[in-house]
Amino acid sequence: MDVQIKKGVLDACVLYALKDGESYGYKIITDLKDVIEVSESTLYPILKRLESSGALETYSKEFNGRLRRYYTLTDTGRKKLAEYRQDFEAIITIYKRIFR
Amino acid sequence: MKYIEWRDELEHFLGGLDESERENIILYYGEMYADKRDSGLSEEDAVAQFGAPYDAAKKILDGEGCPNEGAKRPAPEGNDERALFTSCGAADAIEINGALSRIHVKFSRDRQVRIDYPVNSLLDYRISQQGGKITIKHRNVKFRNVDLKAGLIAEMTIELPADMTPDCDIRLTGGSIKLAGGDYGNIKAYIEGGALSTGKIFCGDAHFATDAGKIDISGAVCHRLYAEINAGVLYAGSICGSCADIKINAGKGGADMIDCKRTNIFVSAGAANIKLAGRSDDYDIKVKKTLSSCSLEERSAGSERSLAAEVYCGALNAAFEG
Repeated sequence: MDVQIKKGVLDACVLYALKDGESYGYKIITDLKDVIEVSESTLYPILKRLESSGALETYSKEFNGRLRRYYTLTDTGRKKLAEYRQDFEAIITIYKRIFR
Repeated sequence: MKYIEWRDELEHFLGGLDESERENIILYYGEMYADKRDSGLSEEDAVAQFGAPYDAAKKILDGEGCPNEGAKRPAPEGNDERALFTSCGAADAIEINGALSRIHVKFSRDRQVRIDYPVNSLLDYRISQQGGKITIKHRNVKFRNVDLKAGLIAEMTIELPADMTPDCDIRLTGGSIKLAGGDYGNIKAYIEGGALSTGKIFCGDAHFATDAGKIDISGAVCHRLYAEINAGVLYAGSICGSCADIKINAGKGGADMIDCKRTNIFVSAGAANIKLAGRSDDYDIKVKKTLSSCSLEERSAGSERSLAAEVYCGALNAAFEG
């Protein structure tokens, strides 16, 4: 897949995985399993990128006697997800016209 | 592999990053690992899911094709001083038990060196040595390039795992190199002096040249053989594939069984003993000889197989078996 398209799709998927509230790395990968396969090593740069662009907020919470890092969408993240949704709808329309 | 080992290797490959960034990544994987274990996976399975440490590090550094501007990447090939382990001492044995992306070993003393490399990663592998004895043992190592240069009175034994296919480039000025059994890519060896021998190996193209040494590849099966013996001895095993090209300027050469479409033998002085697959009728044979002894008769069989022999002062003894 084209790198730019892949980047967009992966970002959108990760934002989507957080749309209902906080989550953590392992859960994000598990939740996305049926949609797209994301490895730990792929996820890390995405989370980092989304965090530095202000789409995510992170914090650590104790779980089972250890600390776990949680991620949650910011308003910017929510807006970004809505934009992706519109973009994808536009792409689907184009796709239907071209390839069907 | 144990998680701790995996993590240490990963950390090594992330050497180009800031310490805090590296710590973040290690924490991230630690948490992932704990979550995997909590979900019921064994240590081995959890680690296996992470993939090879080198691959994981590469994905993180590349951001899966989405470069992360904030992260420093490791310096390109040949510039990564940090990765250089330098020892100036005169040790009798060095044991490297860690994760290295490249090994360049250079020795100038008459010492014994043993390198035991147990980890699984991608290597750019160069050894040059003058003197002494070097033994290198590999288990589960993926090679990219192997470049071996052994100097005077060196002895080198390379053991490679059976399922790896490195391209080998060997230059030997003295001493001996043994390539232990396994699958190889293309092998190029230039023996100025000393001896090269192989165990049971399978390889693609094999280029061998010797000025004065001995090459014994009787355990080898190669697709194409190019051999040049200026002086010295070449003893080849089975060659099956598209072509065998043997040139003897002086010295001695021989092959157990040549089963090739094209066979070219050139003997200027010296002697060649070869055995060819099939009957002599199966070959188009071209012979050019002067003051020499050559058992071959010229013939045109309209066959797909050809044998060209040029023999000047030496002797060529060719037998057929089929």
